[in-house]
Amino acid sequence: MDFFEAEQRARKRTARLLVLFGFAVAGTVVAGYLGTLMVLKVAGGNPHRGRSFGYDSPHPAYADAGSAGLWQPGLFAVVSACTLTVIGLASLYKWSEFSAGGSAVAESVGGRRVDPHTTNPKEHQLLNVVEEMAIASGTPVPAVYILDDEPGINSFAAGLTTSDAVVTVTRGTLEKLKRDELQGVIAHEFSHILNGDMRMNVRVSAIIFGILVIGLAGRATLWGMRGGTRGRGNSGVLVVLGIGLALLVVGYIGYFFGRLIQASLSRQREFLADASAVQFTRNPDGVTGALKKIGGYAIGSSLDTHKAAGISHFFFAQAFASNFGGLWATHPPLGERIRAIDPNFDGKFIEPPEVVDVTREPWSKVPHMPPQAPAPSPQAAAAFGLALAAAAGTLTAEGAAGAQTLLAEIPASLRTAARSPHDAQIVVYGLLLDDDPDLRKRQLASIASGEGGEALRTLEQLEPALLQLKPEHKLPVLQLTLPALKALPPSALGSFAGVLDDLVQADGKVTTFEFALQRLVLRTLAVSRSPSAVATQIYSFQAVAGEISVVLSSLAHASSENTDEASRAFAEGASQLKLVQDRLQFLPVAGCGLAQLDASLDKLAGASGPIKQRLLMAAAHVVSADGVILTAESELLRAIAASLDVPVPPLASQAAA
Amino acid sequence: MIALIILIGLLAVIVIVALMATGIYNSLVSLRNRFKNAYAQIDVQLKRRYDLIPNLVETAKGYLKHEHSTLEDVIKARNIALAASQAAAANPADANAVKGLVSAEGGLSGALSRLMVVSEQYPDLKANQNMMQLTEELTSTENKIAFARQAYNDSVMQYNTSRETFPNVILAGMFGFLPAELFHVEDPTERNAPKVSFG
Repeated sequence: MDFFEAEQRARKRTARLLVLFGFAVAGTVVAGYLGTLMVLKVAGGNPHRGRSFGYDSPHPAYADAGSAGLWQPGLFAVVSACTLTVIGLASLYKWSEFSAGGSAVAESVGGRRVDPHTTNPKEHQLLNVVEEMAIASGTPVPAVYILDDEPGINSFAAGLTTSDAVVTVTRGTLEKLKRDELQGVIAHEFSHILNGDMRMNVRVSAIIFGILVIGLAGRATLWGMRGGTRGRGNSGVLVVLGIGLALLVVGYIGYFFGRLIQASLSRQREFLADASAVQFTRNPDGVTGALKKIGGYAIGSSLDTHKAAGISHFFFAQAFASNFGGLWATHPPLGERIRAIDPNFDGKFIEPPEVVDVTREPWSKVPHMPPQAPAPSPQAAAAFGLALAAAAGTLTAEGAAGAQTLLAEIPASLRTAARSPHDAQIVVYGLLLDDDPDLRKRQLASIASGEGGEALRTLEQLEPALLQLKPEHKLPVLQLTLPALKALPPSALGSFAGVLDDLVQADGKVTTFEFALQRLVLRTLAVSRSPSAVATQIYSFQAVAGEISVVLSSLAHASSENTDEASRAFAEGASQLKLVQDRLQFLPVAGCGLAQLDASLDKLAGASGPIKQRLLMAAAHVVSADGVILTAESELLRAIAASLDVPVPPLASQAAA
Repeated sequence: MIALIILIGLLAVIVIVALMATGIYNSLVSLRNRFKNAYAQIDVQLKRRYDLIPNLVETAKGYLKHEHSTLEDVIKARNIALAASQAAAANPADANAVKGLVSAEGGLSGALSRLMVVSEQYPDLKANQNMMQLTEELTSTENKIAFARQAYNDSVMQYNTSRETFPNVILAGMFGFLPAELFHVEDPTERNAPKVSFG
């Protein structure tokens, strides 16, 4: 995008609209004059009722109005003076409302000033971004406010001059946007500050308000006539009524067109601000990313509070639904704005990141909890706690509360080893070693052939710690190694995967733990090598109903040997997927072995975010249906989550939190 | 009577011309101040970066025991850049000093981005509050340097365009508004400020 040209275009259109607005004001004056003239003509030269808001003040200037021609300079001067005075006074009143400065506006809608020494990292980042944009646009650094209660993505700049300007963002903006996108939004606001858009807007609003006051005066005149008709001359009443009506019509028509012009002015300023945002950041993806997110999130840019309705022109994106089918919309449609910056925009908004953040997802509050759930009531809550815990990497009942204790229980030597790419490999091998001495010897041999003798010595050092490890701690340890494994050079990856396969296949069968481990490791490494591997191809539940059946069935079988109980668990999970519930079948053990699960997960990896999210939800329901979570179940759940690329919070970050 | 009208007309023209000239003069002054301020910002932010780096390295040290050389490279590059900036500040007219500063800055940016790549692999370090704050500060400072340069060039362009167009060009000549120079980056590596981000 050539932003300089786009800016110039928007400026030119603004100028044209301002001229048009001037015509509208002039038109109001002329219409007022014609209206008065007509009323006076109809009244037939009644000299004692003037065109004025106090309807009983006589005006000698109209003495001959009824008999003269269309052009009466005296009458025109009086009418235009009256009209302009009313508009002027009303505008002054409106102007004074905003002259208190930007901070007054921000506080009036519930903004909280961000402390310059804040320790909150997000707020700190916001302040930094604001400073950056102040430099990029060459304006003084404005005060920054946050609307704490607004989950939507929106922001506004207020202030009549650059020195009393403030920038306000919603909480949703801070939480949902990346740094670049936040920068785009703030840059957009800086354009409003730099170009004096608020000043222009307040002026235009003030004038429109003045025109509206003319209409209101007309209405008040008509209203006042109800009680005032007694004891007055008939023709006089007619004149006053006529004038009132004329004022009403002129005022409201002027108001309607004024608002129309103001709205298109506002839309041009938005284009200008978007173009300037690109100029300031030199990064078109920032603004477009933010706009796409607004389009993608259901809540979008809308605001809860209606206190902000009066300043809806200043927001980053449409904050309230507009009247008159978009004619009064203060902002151009999102798609049009994005296309103005990026002509290749494909119309797809950014869907909310489908992160089933298991640490936050309120599993226990999931609606539609089947009341007939077999879990005993005191256990029910614990069961969901367990589902959460299982997904978050802790496998014991106490674990739900104690990820930190869990980390502490993992021997220090393992934790240290898990941090270096080389030793992390050894730790993973160690996790796969069998208890059976013969088998173990064979596994050690394949490690030695793959990695050399030194690996065996490292393994020996780690052995006491590995033996000490409880079975349910194995996967958490594995998770600790993943970041280090990502740093392995591509050359080492091949042999690592080969040795892994040898160790898993040593006894000729694959346990759920081995399955989970292999999937977790290989998937993580594959995604970190080429993030494009997670490209979404499947958007329909129907297309993957078979695969979903396999996944849920295998989980159900892992949860219970008893087929009835397993099918109950399956039904519990299936009920979470209303869209395809009737197409899901509970498969027998033979139909959903690890091989089938493997293939199904590969296909599901290409499903869209919402499908994955719902599926994981359903899976968690299967696992916790009976109130007991076995290690095998949680291992499978973990493998599934990893295959679906749903980031399960690593233990390390929990411990740090 | 006619003479009076002519006199009033002349006065009006003079007043209008004077008002216009004042407006043009003021807008040229404010444009000039904008690019001067932008230039000053570049220096301020470069200095801030030198101050941030020792803290960053100190924090990272505890976690990056195996990455000694990377950390040392950063410190070395920072000290070279600091020395070069002092040399350039002492001798702003010396083209060589400025060139030295530019290449030293490039070296520092490279060392920093290597450090960031390395620290990506240490989740504990990434999760460290202090480190998160420092990287945010560093990102912001890098951005500010880039934006200051960009704002300088944008405002120079605006100023030059304004002083070259009619009728401004007459006043610009009369009051000595000289054309301003764009900020050029000599070293190609300098063009790409390192992308420092933790997702």
